[in-house]
Amino acid sequence: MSAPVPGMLAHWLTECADQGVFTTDLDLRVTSWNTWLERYTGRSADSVVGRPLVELYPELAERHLDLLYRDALGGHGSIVSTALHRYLLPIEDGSPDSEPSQRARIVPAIVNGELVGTVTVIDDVSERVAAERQLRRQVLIEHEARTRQALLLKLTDALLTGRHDEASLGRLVFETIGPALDADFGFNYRLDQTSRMLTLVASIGVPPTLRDGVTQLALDQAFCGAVAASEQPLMADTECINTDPRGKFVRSFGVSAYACHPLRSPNGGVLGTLSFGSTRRGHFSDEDVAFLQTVSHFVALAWERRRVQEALESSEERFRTVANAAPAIVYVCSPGGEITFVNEKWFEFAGPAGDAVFGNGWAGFIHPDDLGPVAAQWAHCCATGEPFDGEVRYRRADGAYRWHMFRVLPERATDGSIRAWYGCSVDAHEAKLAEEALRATARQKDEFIALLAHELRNPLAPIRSSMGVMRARSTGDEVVDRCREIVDRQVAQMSRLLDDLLDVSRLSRGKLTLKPETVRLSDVIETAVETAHPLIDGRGHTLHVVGSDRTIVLDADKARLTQVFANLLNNAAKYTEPGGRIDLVVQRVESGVNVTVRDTGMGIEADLRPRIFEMFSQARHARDTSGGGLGIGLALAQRLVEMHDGTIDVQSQGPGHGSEFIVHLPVTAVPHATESARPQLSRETAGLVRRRVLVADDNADAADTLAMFLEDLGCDVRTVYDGNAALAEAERFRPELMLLDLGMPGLNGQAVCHRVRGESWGADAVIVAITGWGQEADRRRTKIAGFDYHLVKPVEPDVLVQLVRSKHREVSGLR
Amino acid sequence: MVILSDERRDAVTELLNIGFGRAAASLSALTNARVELLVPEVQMCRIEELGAVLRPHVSGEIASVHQVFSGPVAGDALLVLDRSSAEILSQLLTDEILLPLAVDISAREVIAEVGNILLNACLGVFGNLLHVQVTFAVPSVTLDALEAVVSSLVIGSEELSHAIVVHAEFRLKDSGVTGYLVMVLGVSSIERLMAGIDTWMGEQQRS
Repeated sequence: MSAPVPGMLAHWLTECADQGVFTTDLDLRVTSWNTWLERYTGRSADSVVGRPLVELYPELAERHLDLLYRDALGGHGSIVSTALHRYLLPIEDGSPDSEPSQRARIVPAIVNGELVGTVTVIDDVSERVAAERQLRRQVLIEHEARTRQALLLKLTDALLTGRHDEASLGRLVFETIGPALDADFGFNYRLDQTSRMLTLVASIGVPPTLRDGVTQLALDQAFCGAVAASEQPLMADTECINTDPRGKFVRSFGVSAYACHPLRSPNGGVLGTLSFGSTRRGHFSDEDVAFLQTVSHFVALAWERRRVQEALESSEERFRTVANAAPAIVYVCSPGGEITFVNEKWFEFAGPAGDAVFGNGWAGFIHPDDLGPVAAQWAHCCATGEPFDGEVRYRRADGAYRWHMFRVLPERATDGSIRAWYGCSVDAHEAKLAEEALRATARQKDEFIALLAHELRNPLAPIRSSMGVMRARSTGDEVVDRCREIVDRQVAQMSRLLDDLLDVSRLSRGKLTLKPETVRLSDVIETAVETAHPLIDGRGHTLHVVGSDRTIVLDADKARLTQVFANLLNNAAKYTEPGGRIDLVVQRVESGVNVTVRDTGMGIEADLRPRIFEMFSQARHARDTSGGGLGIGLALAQRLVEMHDGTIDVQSQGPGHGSEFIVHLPVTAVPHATESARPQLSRETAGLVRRRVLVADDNADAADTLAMFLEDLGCDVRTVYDGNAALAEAERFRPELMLLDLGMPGLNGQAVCHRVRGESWGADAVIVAITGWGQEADRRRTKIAGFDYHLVKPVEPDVLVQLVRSKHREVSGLR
Repeated sequence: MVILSDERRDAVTELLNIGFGRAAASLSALTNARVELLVPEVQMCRIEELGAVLRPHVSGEIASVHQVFSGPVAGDALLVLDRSSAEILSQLLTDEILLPLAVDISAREVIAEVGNILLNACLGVFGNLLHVQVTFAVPSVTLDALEAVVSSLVIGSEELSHAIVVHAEFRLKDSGVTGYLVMVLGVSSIERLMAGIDTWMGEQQRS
């Protein structure tokens, strides 16, 4: 039966169509087979026409495609899609690559409204399918890339926060990315840096019973050991796993693809390994390997991060423990000064309310009187980075304020900026109170000493004056004269001791000030020698003064410096057996002058030398030999020398070998050529001077003896015993010189002076204050009241002589 | 106005279920995968209402397999799937990586084949019922908006037409995809079909 198709169309379908076309009859025997099919299938039309289709292509039945022909005979058209069937007709050219991609339509052949068979049209769509396949591959790659990206994102949180420990992180990594790589096995090892052994921290797929065999690996043992040793990644395909002896273990699980990466520390070296095995793949693709490398980097970072975090936490924990163990309040502040941490000790102290200390709440715990200065200093330290320390009162839980000593130091970052402040406060309440009590006691003692010295000096004034009178009226009785001389000397000594005592008390109260002027060292030494002479002579010593010339000039308080050398000389005299030798040697040295006082006395033991200048540190056995002293002379000397920017040293070869005190003083000025030598005054050279003198003192003894002394000098003296009498007598008598005690009943000395100065006749009188008080403030007061001079009791007879002799008010060294 | 009574609806459902069974068997055989088609749900509407009936179920761009059938009963048969359902169905059947349907000719062919099998089975059942030979053109697949597909059907119909809408749920590989079978029939075809159904119901009751 021929194809019932018009001739031209039949010809085109047979010879020209770019499709395969064949027809069958109702028995599904092939009735036509076009040229395209001959070429395509390699079967000629002659060889197929007339034969049943299923006989030619038995596999059509196997693939149930014969059903479509039955449908066609039932009047239904069918589609054979490439995607579901690949092809309709196989090509039997034996080439495995030539499996065609076909699309076919099978329709009933209807001629004149009557079904006569089937028509099959086949398109070869291999090219299209290849293009689609290419496209699908592309899509797959992109999809996998997106999948990996999504997996990494999913892991990012776990990998970067460092919250997971190694084991849980490993499991998470395996569970998350294993399925995407068909990896049913995973091993995560940590390399112990000391033992150089690998320890399994996480795994997947390994039965627990077999895990024991791989819990520990040596370097170079199995693939993971090799990777840890070489620090290089290792990929193994099926062949490698089957042939490499190191693949034995994973081979036993049926792993056919394996990838192992080292976990490289960001600081160099290997921390461990991360590996994946698949039983479903022959190898891992390049994309897989690159992905695993990235994952490994992230895991290594996570490990490192966790390590750092643990170190930090442990260091914080250590700090916390140490802070809580400290028996002091420990705190940490922000760079700006807000409290961020306090230890338990604080809460023991402040109670639950101590919670309010954080931030700037600390201010609420500071004593209101302390807060201002403390806040200001703290702000200053925060701004400058200077350490912050001091004393402050904190409020305790019971509301009581307790003194604390504190110190706060900055911790600095590498760039020098302040990272935090660390502070510590120690309860110093008892110590502070004790110190205050001690200070108060010391103050009271000093005040008592000052008062004592003052009160002791009052009786000395009349004694001295009396001695002056007795000296002037010698009885010629040798015994009496000797007794008088002894009394004279002892009074002078007692007077000096009281002076020292007063000075020491002033020193310790910080009330001793220098009145520097330009002085000759020779004058100072001369005066000191004069002062010490009685004791030196008394003990039968010889004194040799060497090198004291008038060219050495100092900027010094003359009286004080004199005191220094007088003390040293007295000291030498005191601690040397009678008949000894004392040398005073002046030497110019670089930057100043050295004055050495050397004796042949008892010397000083070596262990005592460092303490010789301490107050009251008189040599123990010295008391027996020297006959007294308070042990304050050297201390006073040292303080006075230091106040003159000098130094004082002691040398001694030991007991019995004498002592040597060396005073070093800076020399500042050249001598003033115009300065005249101090007039040498003494009773012998004074002569008689007749002047009108008024003496006023409520201590009648003092007034009378002073008057007697002045009368001896030839003065016309009037004596009164209170202020009002003094004023009245002055009005009448018009004295040239007035000696007024300050502390008189009724009108005191200042008032008398003030009133006299207010009179026309009183302007030119020389008015002298005589008092037990010699402080600078006292002197200032008398000067304001109009006094010309301020003399401290007991008054030196020589000074009185000088006052009487001078016709003007310029008597040096008295003000 | 033809009314799809409950009895007729049950009868149509039962008949279509036979077609579904055959289609599922064919699909399973051809794809070597177990394909199930759940019991159809049937409703009938006038062609003008078709858009409103389908809109709640399919939206946006849809894939439709369109097959014209002719004979004593004639009309249009369509399988309508929304695009993602079409893509999923094709992927489930072929295991291929999905490309956008607009460029994936192979996937569209698969949808066409599936639609062809389902439509053939269902229309075949009706043909047998009416003892008429219904012949079908080879189907074509189009991607278009629902409105465009529906309006082309409305314009194409010359007489008052009705649409039988059948919910068809495919089940394979633990997944489900729902499509909609639409048969558009002129009044005469519908009346003939309903008469055939009434006869069949009578035969069923007698037997």
